[in-house]
Order: sequence, then structure tokens, then C-alpha cells
Amino acid sequence: MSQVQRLEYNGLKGVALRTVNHVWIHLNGQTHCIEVQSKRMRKQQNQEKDPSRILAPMPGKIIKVMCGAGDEVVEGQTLVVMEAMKMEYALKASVAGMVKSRPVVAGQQVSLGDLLVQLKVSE
Amino acid sequence: MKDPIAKGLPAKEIKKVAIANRGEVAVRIIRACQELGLQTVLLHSEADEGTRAFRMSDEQVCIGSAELSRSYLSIENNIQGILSAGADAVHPGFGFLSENAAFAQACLDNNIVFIGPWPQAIRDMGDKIVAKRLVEEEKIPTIPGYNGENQDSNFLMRECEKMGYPVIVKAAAGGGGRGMKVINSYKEAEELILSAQREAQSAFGSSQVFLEKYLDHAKHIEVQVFGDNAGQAVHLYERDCSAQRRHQKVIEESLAITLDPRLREEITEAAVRLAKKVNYVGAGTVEFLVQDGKYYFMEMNTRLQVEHPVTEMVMGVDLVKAQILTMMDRTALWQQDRLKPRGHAIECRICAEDPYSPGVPSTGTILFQQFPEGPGRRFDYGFDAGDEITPYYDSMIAKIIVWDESRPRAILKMIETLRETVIFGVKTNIPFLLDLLQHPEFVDGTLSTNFIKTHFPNGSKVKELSAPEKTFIDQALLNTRAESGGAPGKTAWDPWNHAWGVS
Repeated sequence: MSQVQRLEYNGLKGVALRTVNHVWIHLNGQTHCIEVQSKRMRKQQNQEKDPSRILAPMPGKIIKVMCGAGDEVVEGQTLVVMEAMKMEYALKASVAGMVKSRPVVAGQQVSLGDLLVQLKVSE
Repeated sequence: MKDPIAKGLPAKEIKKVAIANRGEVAVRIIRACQELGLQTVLLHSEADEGTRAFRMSDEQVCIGSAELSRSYLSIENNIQGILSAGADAVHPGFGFLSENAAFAQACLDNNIVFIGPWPQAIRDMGDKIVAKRLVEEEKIPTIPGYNGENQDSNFLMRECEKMGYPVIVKAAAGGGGRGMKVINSYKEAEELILSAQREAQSAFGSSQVFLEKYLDHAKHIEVQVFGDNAGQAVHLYERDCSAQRRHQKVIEESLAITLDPRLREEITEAAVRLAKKVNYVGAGTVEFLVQDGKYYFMEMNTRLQVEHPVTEMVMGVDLVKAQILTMMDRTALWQQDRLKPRGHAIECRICAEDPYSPGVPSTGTILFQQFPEGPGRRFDYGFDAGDEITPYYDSMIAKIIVWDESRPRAILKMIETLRETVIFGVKTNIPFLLDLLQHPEFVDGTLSTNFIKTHFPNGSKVKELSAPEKTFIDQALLNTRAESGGAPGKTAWDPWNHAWGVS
């Protein structure tokens, strides 16, 4: 773990800490976590924004699947319900489309970023 | 029921206390035990070896794996842990087994002092349906609802229709917001009822739920009560916990400044009446909703509350030590007419979550942590730098409590304290808390339980940085990159896209 640095520039004081992929900075009552990105990470991030891919927003457990391959889904429809830190989260389709695959089952533990549902977005 | 008081048994001597909990509350209990000269045994899961409570306790007993049902929720494992360590008593904290009558009974059966009320009081108040009946016998108003045995979702949906929306569905065995949902229309009733039943099953081991008409601009006001072992009960005034998100409290205060003095007298008196009716021993909380000058009983929590520190600050008491002393001794600790509140206290729950995507937890290792000490500032935290925040448990990692002479000063102190609190490694809700504290409705104290839902449905908004701040951050990036051998100046960086939750 690298050392915390106490920095001062132009009268502003802050605290900063560098890790492998991030720099944490605390300044004026706000904490910023800045990603020091590689090309690969950038590509991965763009994939995360793809509305046809429903990814686990956190590590947790799938408690209910509400769609299967071939299902037509509408925008806002709940596809999968997961549980983390003892709370339930409904993952919904942000676009209408057809379920191409749903590689998870109820009861399964998933990691952050795991693919839960792959949609084929309606034209 | 075996009740040592009724049988006139002497209070048991306590030398070693087991803690059947984790995180900041385990630390809180260890502190109280240390001050009373008692040995401590932490009953922990495999996942909680890297925590402050683990390091601070005198002894540690691993009671199972991270999964709740195999450790913190297992009565058998906890009892075995207590017996194997030779502890005389157990403090259950809050959550987990703290309101589990079977656990309290198992302690009694194994000659372990359960630091809390007798099993019967837990059973009566823990079953929301029985509780409602007892409360009505005391002529304390309750909220209209359905609290029967029929758990068929179609039947419950028809009951919702009868009551008129909004309706709230709650776990019968619950507390603390788990398994609670607000139903606004017939359309969403079924999905929410089934979801509440599932959450109730997984959190409390019983899927039974009940329905209530939802008061849509009420304040959450709760009364701290305390029963001693001689049949007396006092109240330690009230807390305002109206700042809630999805029925989880976020900020709590004592006292409730907008509470009419006549109403304060009525609800505190009602809470004491209820405590006496169930022969309540130790710290308990009677929760009410207050709307349009009327109050309605919601539930009684038969345990220490997360927000107990605000009461400790304004009343000048130590509730955890009082709980332990009560189990060791029969004499009354406090006299009602000597309990006088002073000043104002506020608590903020610090949660490891993304402030810009509400409710999305953040896990990881705490890399650095700095709490700005000062007069009237209290930091109850469960983790040090190097400790991992795991996904197995709830997201609260610390509590910050401030006291000052008046509410406006306490708000300013809390804002300053939060701004100077540094936590690196996990995202925290501090930006969200700062937004709440500065909202006009919070500042004037009129907020209802809908405050967060109405004004902050999507959490905090990312704040635009000033030019000097951007320069500072660019400099800091250069500096830290140079230090670690990275290529300085190569990071294309825009503060907007790199603030939490946006990237």
C-alpha cells in the first residue's frame, strides 16, 4: 500500500493516495477517485455502458430470474433480482428487446461486472 | 416462563461478556465492557477477522462462515461459542439475534445472561400483530391495516384495495426497514408483496408480512425507554429519525425540535406505559409516526438502537453500560425527574456505497481513514485502514455523532466534521449526507419520512469543480504518478467523468 500524501498548492490543502489503478484525492470536503485508465480498461468500460448487456452492479446473489432466452422484454421490465448487503435490487431492461441469453440461475453468487442477461435490442 | 425476577433469583455475577455482533456496535460494546472491567469475547464469522472488534476484544471465537445463517444468525453456534469461552453474559447488539426470543430463551436455559429484556417481552413486541393488540389495550393509537395470518398475495392485494393506497407492506418479524415496501397502486402490489415476503424470509426466517395504510407526510419520532430490574421504567426523551431512505434511517437527531411539548409528554408517557406493561428490562425504543398533530404507534424495538448515541449525548448517559449494569444489579439507575436533556445531537450513518447511485454498495479495502477529532464529536467505527469491507453484511461502516448547544450549531458542526472526514478505498455516502444536511427542509427541521424520496430520488449530484480545484487535482495526479513511476501528464482527465459513480 502506498503512502498518503498531504499536498498543498495555491493555498488549497488536500490528501492523496495512489493505488495501482486509481488516485484517491480528498479536497475541500469532497473525495474523488480518479481512474488511471489503460486502453483495455477503457474498452471494458464502454462495454459496461452497452444497454444490451445487463451486468451485476455489485457482488451478490441472484435471488430471482424473471426472463429466459427468447423472451420479448419491454423497457423498464425487471429481468433479474439480486441481493447484496441484505437488500434486494431489481435489474431492469433500459431498452426493449429480446433476451438472447441469461447465463445465471437463482441462488447463484455473482461478481461485480458479471454478465446476467444479454439482450438483442429491438430496431 | 422461567423469569428469574418472578422467581426472586439474585442477579448473576458477570465477569466475561460475549459479543454476538460485528462492526462498530461490537466495538461500542467492547468499550463499555472495558470501562466496567469486564473481559470480552467476540463471536465472529470467518469473514470478520480483519476488523477492529476482533483486534480489540480479549478473546475471539469463530462461530462459522460468512453466510449469516451459519454464523451470526445461528442460535446454536452462538450459544456454543459463549459456553466454550466461559462467558457469563452475551450482548446481542442490534440486528442479527438481538430481537430473537428463541436466542434469549436459549441463553436463559444455558444459564447465560442475555443483556436485554426477557424472552416474553421480545416475543410480544417482536410479533407485530401481538404488539398491536397490547398497544391498543393501552389506548395508544395505531395505524389502520391488515395484520392477520392470511398470507396469500391475492388476498393481501384485496386488503390493499380496501385500505386505499399508499399501503406499506412489512415483515411481521422484522425491524430496521428490511422487508418493507410502499405499494402505490394495484399494478405493483403483487410484485412488492412477494418481494417483501422473500426479504422477510431471508432476513428473519419467516415470510409473514402485514399491511398498513401509509402516512405520506409523517415524521418518525421514537422514544428511548429503559426498564430496570425492579419493575420501573423511564424514558430518555425522543429522537427524530425522519431522514430515511427506503425505510432505512440515514440521519437521526435528539431531541425532535418540531415536536409540540404537549405531544412530547403524551408519547413519552405512552412509551413508558408500554414498557411497564411488558415488564421491559434494559434499553428499548418505541417508534411512532407523527402526522398533523396526531401520533400512531409503529413498533417497539426490544434492543439497543443504531442511533442510541444521540440520546447518550443529549441525556449525558451511557446506555450500553446501563444495560450491562442493569443485568448485574436490581436497583434503579435513573429517576425520571432527574433526566434532563441538554443541547442537540445528530448522528450520520456512514455507509460504504455510491453516493451518486443510491443504494449501490461499495466493497473493497479501506486504504486510509481520518476522523477529525474535536469537542462534541464522536466517531463509532468498526474498521481501520487495511480492513476489508465485504459484501456479506450491511453497508454501514461507521457512525459520526456530534453534539452542540443548539440544533443549528450541531448541523454546522456535522457539516464541518463530514467535510474533514477522509475515507479512501471504498466510496461512502458522505456527499449525500452533506446534501441532506444543507437542504432547507432539513435545516428548518420540518422534514417528513418522504424527505429523501422527494428531494433526492437519485442520490447526490456530482458537483462541478472550481478552476483552482481542477488545478489542484491535476497537480496531485502528476505528483502521485511521478512518485509511482507512471508517465506524468498522460492521463486524459476530466473531473466530471472521474468523480464517483459517473465513470
